Amino acid sequence: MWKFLYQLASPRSFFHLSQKVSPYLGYLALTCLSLSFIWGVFWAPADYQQGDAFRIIYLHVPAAFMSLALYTGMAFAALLFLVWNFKLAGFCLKFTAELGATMSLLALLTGSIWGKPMWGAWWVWDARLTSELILFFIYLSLLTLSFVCKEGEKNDRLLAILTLIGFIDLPIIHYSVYWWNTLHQGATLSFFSKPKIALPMLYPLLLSLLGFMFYSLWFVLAKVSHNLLWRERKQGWVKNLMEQR
Amino acid sequence: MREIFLNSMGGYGAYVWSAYALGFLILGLQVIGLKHQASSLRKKLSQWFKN
Repeated sequence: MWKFLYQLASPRSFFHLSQKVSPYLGYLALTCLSLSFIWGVFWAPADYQQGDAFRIIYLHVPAAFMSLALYTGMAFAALLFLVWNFKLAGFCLKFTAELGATMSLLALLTGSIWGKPMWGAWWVWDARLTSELILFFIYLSLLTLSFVCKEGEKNDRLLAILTLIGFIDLPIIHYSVYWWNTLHQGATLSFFSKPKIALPMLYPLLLSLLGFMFYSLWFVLAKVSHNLLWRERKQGWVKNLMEQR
Repeated sequence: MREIFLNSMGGYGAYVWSAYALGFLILGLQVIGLKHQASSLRKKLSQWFKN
């Protein structure tokens, strides 16, 4: 794994790898997301309590999951940058935060639309909802910081430190439904226990999760590789690349 | 048309379709933004090399 990470740390290898992998990720994301939405909206059976309103799950849960997963990835990248000085990891933070903010916004909005028919309110100051809202604000503050400060290693270092501080919100989001009495239901899927959802409803959800993961990888790789060319424009390999095009 | 939209999905049509419309809108705008940024960066880069 370390050998692979060291290879990735070189901007040139990262760029070439992302150019090779990106199209496949994009097509995989499109296929998985289209299939899961069609399956979930038209074929999956209705829930016995929530009826067809539960179908929002195929958008809400993957978006919420990705908002947490992307932040975990950012914290790992921040550690790589601060401890092992992987400069590329620091450079990725800003672009991952952009996608993370979108995912948490999508989770909050779809959750709100789902909450109205089920709870009778667009918003409640429930622990899960509030901690997810805080995550959205953390993403926004990281983005604001990256836009306000000048590009460079100093800015990346500050961003990495703040990312690690913000990581404290993640266990709060995850355990909020166990620590407090919340309107929000507990986890439907867990790595260590049987799923609390019927299999015909579960399969499209897993497919949607996979689609969101492919989409996120595609987005971050594309975003980073485009901006990497600009940052590395004084290097010979970028000049050669531009001449070839 | 409005009736079909509202009465579908066991009466939850307005909520389910709005959620998906919002999802497609947000993801669609993000992809358009990415493509737009990529093309403007390419232009900026070729301009930089010309100079």
